[in-house]
Amino acid sequence: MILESLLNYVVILVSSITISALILSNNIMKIILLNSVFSTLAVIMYLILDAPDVAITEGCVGVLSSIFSIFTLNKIYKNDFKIADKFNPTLFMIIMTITLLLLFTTQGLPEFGQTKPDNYYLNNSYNEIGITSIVTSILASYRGYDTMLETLVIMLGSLAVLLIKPQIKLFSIPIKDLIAEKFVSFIFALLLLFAFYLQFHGEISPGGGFQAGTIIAASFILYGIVFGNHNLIKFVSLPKLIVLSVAGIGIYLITGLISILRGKSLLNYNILSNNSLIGQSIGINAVEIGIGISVAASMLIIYLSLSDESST
Amino acid sequence: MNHLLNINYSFSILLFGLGLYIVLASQDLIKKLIGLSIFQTSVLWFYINIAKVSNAFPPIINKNQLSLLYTNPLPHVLMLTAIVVGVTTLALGFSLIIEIKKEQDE
Repeated sequence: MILESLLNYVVILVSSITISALILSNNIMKIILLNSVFSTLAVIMYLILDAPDVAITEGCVGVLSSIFSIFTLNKIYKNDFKIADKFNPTLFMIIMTITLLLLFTTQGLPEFGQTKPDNYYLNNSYNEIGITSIVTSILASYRGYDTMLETLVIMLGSLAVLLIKPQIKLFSIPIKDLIAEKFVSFIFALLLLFAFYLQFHGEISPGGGFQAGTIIAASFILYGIVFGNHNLIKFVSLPKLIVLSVAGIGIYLITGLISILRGKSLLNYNILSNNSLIGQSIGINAVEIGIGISVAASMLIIYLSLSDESST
Repeated sequence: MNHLLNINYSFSILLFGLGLYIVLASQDLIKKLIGLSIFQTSVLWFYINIAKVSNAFPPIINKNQLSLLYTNPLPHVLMLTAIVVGVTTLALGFSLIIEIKKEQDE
């Protein structure tokens, strides 16, 4: 307990130093790297605050956000990373005043750590759904509508990235390094194994479709960076990825529609089997597979669009 | 005014202000987007701080002891959605920046 509260203070101190360096910096590469450092510190903070699901999602997604930032940087700033940025004191004072006023509103909050959660999910989730991870049971079963539409948002985001730039030549310069090639050949299978572990252990530990989808995408992105996009296309071409990202949502929707065909409301997993607990497990697993496929395909579409090195 | 300056709440609101400052004051487009992602992270920190219960376990049920004290799982679920939608927004913003810079250079 003492170690946790000490680590709490240390993480807050280091992240305040990081953010201050980020504000005052003039070098865009430094800013992007400090952002990924801050994302790692946020992962540690979520672990201190007993939120393992949020921590693993932030870790997986922080990887992708750093990759996308660096590819954008590569396209805009070729070799010169200096930006024209000055510190603006008057605006800083105005925003700090607003922040101080907002700080006074924390007076109305209950004391830190003393809330008493007595909600429905904690008491009834294990009896009604039967899986040990409460967060997955809320995400995939109790609030299944939200998750379906969220996956739809991710798919639409990837389609919008494609629509902004319709002419994708899918050409990128591979890294010609023997060590990199041997390493990626070795680590690619291990990354996919870890992604499948996260996917199918979403019921009993932190994990699930989103995290697994991002790690599958990250392993293919690593392959594409080292061996070149023209080699990546031989496995995952762009039309296949678009079909896959829609098919993931299709799997989600079909699982919900089966319960309409049996006379109940949408996404009611209880009647997918005779035993309602087994039905919930079938429903949650099917839905998580759909989410994983859709998120992986969407992130790969965004990578292919951002890493395109053609000069048009 | 007994718990006015709890450090966790104060830091998440300070991050809110700093992220807002980066979005408003920076003249470079990539830096603005990174400020926006810091802004989103500050909101997540605030919600996860609310959910924390002292001396409690993470919300994964231990089958042997069914009546332990767990942290509140509902804000965790809401923030999962927010993280993933945040990276999608960031990616879309980056591709728009590339198109803007291309138009400016021509």
